[in-house]
Amino acid sequence: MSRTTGAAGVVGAAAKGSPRTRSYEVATHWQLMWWKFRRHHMAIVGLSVLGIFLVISLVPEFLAPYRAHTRDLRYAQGPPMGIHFFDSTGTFHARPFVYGWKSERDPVTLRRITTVDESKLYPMQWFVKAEPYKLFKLFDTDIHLFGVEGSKVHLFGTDQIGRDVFSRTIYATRTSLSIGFIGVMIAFVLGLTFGGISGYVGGMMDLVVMRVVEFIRSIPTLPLWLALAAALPRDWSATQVYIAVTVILAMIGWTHLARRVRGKLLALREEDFVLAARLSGCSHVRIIGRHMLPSFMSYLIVDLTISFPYIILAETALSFLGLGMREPAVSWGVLLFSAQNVRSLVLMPWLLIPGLFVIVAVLAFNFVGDGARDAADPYAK
Amino acid sequence: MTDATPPSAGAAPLLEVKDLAVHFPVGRRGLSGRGGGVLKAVDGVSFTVYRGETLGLVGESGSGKTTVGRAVLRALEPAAGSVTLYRDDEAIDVTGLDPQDLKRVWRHMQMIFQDPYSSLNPSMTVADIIGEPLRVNGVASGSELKEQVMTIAGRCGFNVAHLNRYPHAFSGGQRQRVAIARALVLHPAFVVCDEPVSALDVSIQAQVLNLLKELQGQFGLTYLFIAHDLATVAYACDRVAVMYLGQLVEVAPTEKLYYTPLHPYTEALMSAIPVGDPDLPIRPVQLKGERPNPSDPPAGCRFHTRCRFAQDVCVAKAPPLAEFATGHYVSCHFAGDLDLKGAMDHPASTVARR
Repeated sequence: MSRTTGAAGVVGAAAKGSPRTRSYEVATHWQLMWWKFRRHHMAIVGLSVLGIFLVISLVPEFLAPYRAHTRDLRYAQGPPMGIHFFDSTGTFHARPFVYGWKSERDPVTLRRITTVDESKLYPMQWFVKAEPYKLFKLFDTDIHLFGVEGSKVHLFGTDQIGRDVFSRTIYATRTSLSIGFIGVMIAFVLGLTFGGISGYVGGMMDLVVMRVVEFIRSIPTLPLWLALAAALPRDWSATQVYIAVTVILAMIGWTHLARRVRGKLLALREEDFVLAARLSGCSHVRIIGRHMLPSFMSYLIVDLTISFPYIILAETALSFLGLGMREPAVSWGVLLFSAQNVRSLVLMPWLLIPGLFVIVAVLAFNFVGDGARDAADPYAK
Repeated sequence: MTDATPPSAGAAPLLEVKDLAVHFPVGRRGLSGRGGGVLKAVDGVSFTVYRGETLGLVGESGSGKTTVGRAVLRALEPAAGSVTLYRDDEAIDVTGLDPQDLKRVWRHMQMIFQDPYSSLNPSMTVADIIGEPLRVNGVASGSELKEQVMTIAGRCGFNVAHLNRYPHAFSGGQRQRVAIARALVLHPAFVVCDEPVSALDVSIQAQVLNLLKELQGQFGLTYLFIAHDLATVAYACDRVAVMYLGQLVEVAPTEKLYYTPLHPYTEALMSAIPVGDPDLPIRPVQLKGERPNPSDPPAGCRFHTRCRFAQDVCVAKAPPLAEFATGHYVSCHFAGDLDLKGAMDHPASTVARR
């Protein structure tokens, strides 16, 4: 840590980040971090993407035009619909529209063929009334963000049995992100507790905790997940499996955090300001709460951000292999599971669109994590 | 050179350290935590600090200066020996206190650290940092606490208008003033200054040294001043103790130690004071070899492996720290018999030119 050169470094940073130098001088640790984070453009982009994902997970019922299990049999296995401004004659329409379609079977291959019917136009509508739902499990409503009247709109197409891929992806976002969030929180509590005991008490406790951590980490992850997931009873409900998968992922995720907490505590114990606090007569509780925790909270947040994508990817991998979440639950992994065979890949490549969401989410978390890591020590250059 | 007179033989002691030893475990240890060696960072150090004086503690890196400073406060647990603090008419055995009593005694013994960048918690405002000892000891709260913080910050030369700022807004010198204010806010009698100026610019060093002297007069403070810069020590200290490999080799009033050293190691130190003139030749007394490994110190006199006067007796027997002249202690079999040069006798030195 280059504390000695730090002061000069942040003055420059502050001149850019804050309107007045005066506010820099009375800025808290967290404000300094935010100013430094703001200068990391990719991290800001990542944060905005995560903000969008957060909104999606909060109100998927409103954003998705249909429910996850509503079937549109007439448009089953249909490709994504284009949203158009110009019709086939070249006339401009201020309100975008989707074409109607005709669905028939190829008489030779019996393959279902959907053909666009350019004679019928269905304009897109905002705030349409469609299937009823309870917003936040409280308010009865049937307003959806968008839709068409008289027909259906399938932005990402439909799957084998005619369910809207866009709506399902929206619902899956909630499941996958909440697994990540709850998993990270459980891992955080476990890591903080065991890492804290290990680092602050030391001695025999340290030895035992660290050997356990090493043991868990030495087990190859994929077989371990498989074994744990295979142990889940097949007759469990989707909710029970959801909770179990979250706990399984957290049980492995905490080890990394415990090590970081321990390392940071060991380093902080030697800091002069901690000794100064002890000489001032501070109790252990005050030393940990007032002096040690604030100094490494920022590092923990970085670690959490970075461990988020691992848990999301782990859930996706487990569900993709058919060992995590299963139908009728919808998660990104469950959606990708249905895109597993070559036939659907060739005939319905749009089933892979949920994979893009996984990639975007993981990248966003990584960018935010990068920015946060740089900002975690606002005193370094 | 300091103009303070060394305390007379009858001056009242404030702190008495006897046979202090601090050990650190080194090397590999088994699963049970046993095995491995012991590094005797401090091995049988005894000295007395008198009321109102500044006792310097010098030595090269790794000689155990900082360890002594911390063990005296029991920030580190000493392995052996005793530390006694004389307060009013009471003799407090610091080494025997339980944690609760120790907290009470820390109100009278404080510390100023070397690095003002790591000694201030970056997530607290300056006012919170200075006020913390008052708050946790229940000395003051509310507006009274604010007032006391402002008073001590002002006395330490810190602009009280800046009290609600965070440490990152300040330079090293300002931060060190904050650290000093925190150490003094409870009005301790004794302060360990652990290289308080060595991390600062030379121009700031003098300011902080003068501040420490000023505060010493105002509050009647007694300092244990740990440093490795001999010019700083000459300026700040009334008496100086020289450490080598975890032991004291010589303790004397500053002038005597600098001009008439009695230990060959002190002589070597004095000859190494840099000269402020690039044209003047500097011929330090070269010590042969390397400093021995402190986890395996040589038998007999610890300095014999590098001493140009070493005899058989030095290998066989460790010399005790004995009073050679009034107030001048030295640990050498041949004290007084050797022809040693002081700081003045070398071609030129900062001390000699003052």
